[in-house]
Amino acid sequence: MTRSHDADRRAFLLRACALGATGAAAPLALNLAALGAAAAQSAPASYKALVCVFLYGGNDPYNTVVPYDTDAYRAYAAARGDIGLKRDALQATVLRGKAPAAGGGQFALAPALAPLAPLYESGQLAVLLNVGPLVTPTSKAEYISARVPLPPKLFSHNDQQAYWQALAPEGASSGWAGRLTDLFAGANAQRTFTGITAGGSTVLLAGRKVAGYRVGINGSTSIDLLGRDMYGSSACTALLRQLITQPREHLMEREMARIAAQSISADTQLRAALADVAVPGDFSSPLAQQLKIVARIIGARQALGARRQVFFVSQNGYDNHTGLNDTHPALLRELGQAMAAFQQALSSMGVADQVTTFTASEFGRTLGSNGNGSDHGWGSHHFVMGGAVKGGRYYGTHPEIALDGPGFVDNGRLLPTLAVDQLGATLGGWFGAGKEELGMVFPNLRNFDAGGVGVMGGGV
Amino acid sequence: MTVTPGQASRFLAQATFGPTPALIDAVVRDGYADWLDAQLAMPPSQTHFDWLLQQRKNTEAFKGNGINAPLESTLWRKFISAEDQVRTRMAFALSEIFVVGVQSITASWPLFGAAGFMDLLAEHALGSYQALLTAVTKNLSMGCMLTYRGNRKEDPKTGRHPDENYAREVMQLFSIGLLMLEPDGTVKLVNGAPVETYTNADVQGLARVFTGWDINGPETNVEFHRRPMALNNALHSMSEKRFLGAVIPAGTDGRLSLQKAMDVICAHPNVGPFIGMQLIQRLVTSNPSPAYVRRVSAVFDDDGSGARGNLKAVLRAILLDPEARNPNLNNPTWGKVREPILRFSGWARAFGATSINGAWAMPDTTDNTIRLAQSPMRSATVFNFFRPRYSPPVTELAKRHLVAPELQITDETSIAGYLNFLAIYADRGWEDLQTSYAPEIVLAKDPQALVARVVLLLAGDAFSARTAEAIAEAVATVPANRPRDRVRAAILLVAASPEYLVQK
Repeated sequence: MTRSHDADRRAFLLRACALGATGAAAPLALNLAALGAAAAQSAPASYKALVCVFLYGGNDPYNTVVPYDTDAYRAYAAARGDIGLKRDALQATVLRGKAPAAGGGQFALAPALAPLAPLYESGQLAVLLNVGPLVTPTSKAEYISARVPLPPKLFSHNDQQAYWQALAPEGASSGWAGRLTDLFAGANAQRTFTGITAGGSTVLLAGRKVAGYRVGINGSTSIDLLGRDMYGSSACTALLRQLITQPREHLMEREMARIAAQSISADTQLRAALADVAVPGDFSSPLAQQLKIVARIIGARQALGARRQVFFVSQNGYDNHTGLNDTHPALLRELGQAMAAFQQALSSMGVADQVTTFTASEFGRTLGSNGNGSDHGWGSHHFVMGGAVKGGRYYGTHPEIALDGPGFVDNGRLLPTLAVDQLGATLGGWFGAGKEELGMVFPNLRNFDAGGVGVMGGGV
Repeated sequence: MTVTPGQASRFLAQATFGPTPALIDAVVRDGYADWLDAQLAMPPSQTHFDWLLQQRKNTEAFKGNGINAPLESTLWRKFISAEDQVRTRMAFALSEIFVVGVQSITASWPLFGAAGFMDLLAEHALGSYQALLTAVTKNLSMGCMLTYRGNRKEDPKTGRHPDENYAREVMQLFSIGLLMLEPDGTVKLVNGAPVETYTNADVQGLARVFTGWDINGPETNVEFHRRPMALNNALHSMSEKRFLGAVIPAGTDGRLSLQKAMDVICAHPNVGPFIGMQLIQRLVTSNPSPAYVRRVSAVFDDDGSGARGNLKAVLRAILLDPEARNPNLNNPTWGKVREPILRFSGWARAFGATSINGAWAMPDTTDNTIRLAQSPMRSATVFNFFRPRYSPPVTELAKRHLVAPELQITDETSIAGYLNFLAIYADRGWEDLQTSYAPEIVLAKDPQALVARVVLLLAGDAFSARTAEAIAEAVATVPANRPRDRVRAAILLVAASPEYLVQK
């Protein structure tokens, strides 16, 4: 059996103390470098993983977590018009948890998310209300007058995707999960298998030294030509291997050669590690297939020598400017089934407490309708799932529903009341990072007196 | 000024879907400018739309989405075999700026929508930017892609607002971008900070312009895809429209509002550097010098006769610029990663692969484990397969603030997938797309000569003698009595090399 979380925690606190010498004024990069070195000396014994489920396009929060109590629902229905969900359809998915929302509101999941309702009831799923990119707590008046710094390029898909993943717009050179895993460089036998994406290119996993490793739904892909003599010539095959992997002067060639070399070596190891790992359950949808390979890699954690991993999976299609009521339920059905199947698989593997899954998306959408869809917004509601989650509860607050209400800007766009930094720091704290470390990974955290979200229990 | 075959080959990699022996000879004979001007004077070759009609793909069988295979046939047909190569290549480059994915076309016969959209880009590729943007804006496939077909005016009673999708993306992606730019493409700084080009209020104001437009004609035959969308003024917002500092007064109808909006957007000083930079990236190099961008955006602003947005002049300026023609080939940051579509078309053209029966049965090449991780007109979103400012994290490129857009689809899986696909098509073609490799087989007894020809056709003068020599030595180990295998091995090794994969 592994060491307890508390033991890990003590190790990190000690490490944080050892770092005191670098001082708060030292440049960020220097501090992170020092932290990485310190981390290498105190590898945690237990396994933990974070799984990001990214909903590309900007998920509509109001048709995901729906106000249900009579007054709020009436305001919801009036503001949403023809794109709102019908209250009758929500009865079966009313959230019955351990505590009401702040202010006493009641919410229901979209009917398509029914597979998640039991997870909420059993305390393995939490609902985060109105989270989004913020530099500092921001009121509507401050937004309008731009009196406080705002996240750049709000409402832009690619930039807000990057902000959720890196806390900076497109062009960011590292992601918060990559920076977080940098702290645990010594935890894994190999850095390659620390940040793994089955959901496409992402800056989330990029740290100082290593970017995310890309797998397909069946794991790695072999280069067929290297498995045989090319036209009977071993010299040709040997040269091929050399050509595609040898370091180059040209910077783009160098990167391609690096990727090819990593592709070859990781394929060999991952193929061997995954050979005997099967995961039970129904994983047929595209998102579920991604989560299945994640579960299999988690199952191979010992063979891969991994103790701290972050995974990225994604689902496309949430930019429902049109056809919201046709498209969105099917997306959520896939999401709910896939997440529930994943949690079930983790339980059967005995790692439910060691893996925390969370949703993310570039932005929420407008409360108001454009006829049969909604437009780019800002704050949104999200889920955190896992055995270590303090679930069956809401975190954050939901404003009174009114297109021009104080909780909404630019005609019906939720002004976030929880920051991405706060959510990330909470997950990072559970992962084992100390307070000082979190402050460096999440640059805006210090602006929020409340610190983290609390969804993992404990201090942050 | 004389042009060497190697230089001609490198020029053709930028200007076409890949050099052929005949075109290399032509460029060497005529020089860059004369050859290019002859290309620019050519009318568009047979459209994708007409070819699909000729092939009788306008039947019930192709009416729904998901059965679009003939689209690949005609797209690759023109990439590989069209005579008007420069126009066709420019249209492809534009299709990665004005992005439509066939899967997003919510009308019957989506393959005709996508084909017609590529035809529209080819028609306007050498014309005026404003005419192009206006045609794109009125196109049904774009209306589907960015969801403004059927977009209705605001309704104060219910609180309904117009769909903002196109209003945002036409500014962010098709014209001016998010930040104010200098004419040389660098970000303009005011008090040390970048300035955003528009606010959410501009998006909301402009969104009113794109109301009232929808499909023009019944979906009984495919021709509606070629007609601009029709305006229904009853659904068009007659309110005042404010955006980018302009005001379209209340009561202005849909047609005039659209025209005025195009005037405002196209006159914005960002268009030249924003569009010019991206065209340079698609054709020549990922990181052009500011001076190169400035020269191109100056031509965008004024083609010499006072006209703004002359794309033919812009393209000419891009391809004939001294930086494009005479770069330092040893500069470790020059060039661009050859996007996978161009690797395949380049192979086919270099070695004369063509359809033996006229069917052009090309697959959707999106798969990343045994295809190209990219397929024309199949981008999942309007943000293209890769972003123009993508910089791969944790690299020297990122450290130097350089970009490499095509590396966004280059990863541990797709790098293997390309090699796996290459191993198939270099070996045995693809379905009816076949080549005899006859000119190369003649050279097979002399591996050095064989490799020299393959290098000339694929990489021009930007391939090291050392690597070529190593490949020739390896190819020599394939028995001489199997000349075709020597040819295949030579092509595989050159086309797998990073030296080739980065176009200089």
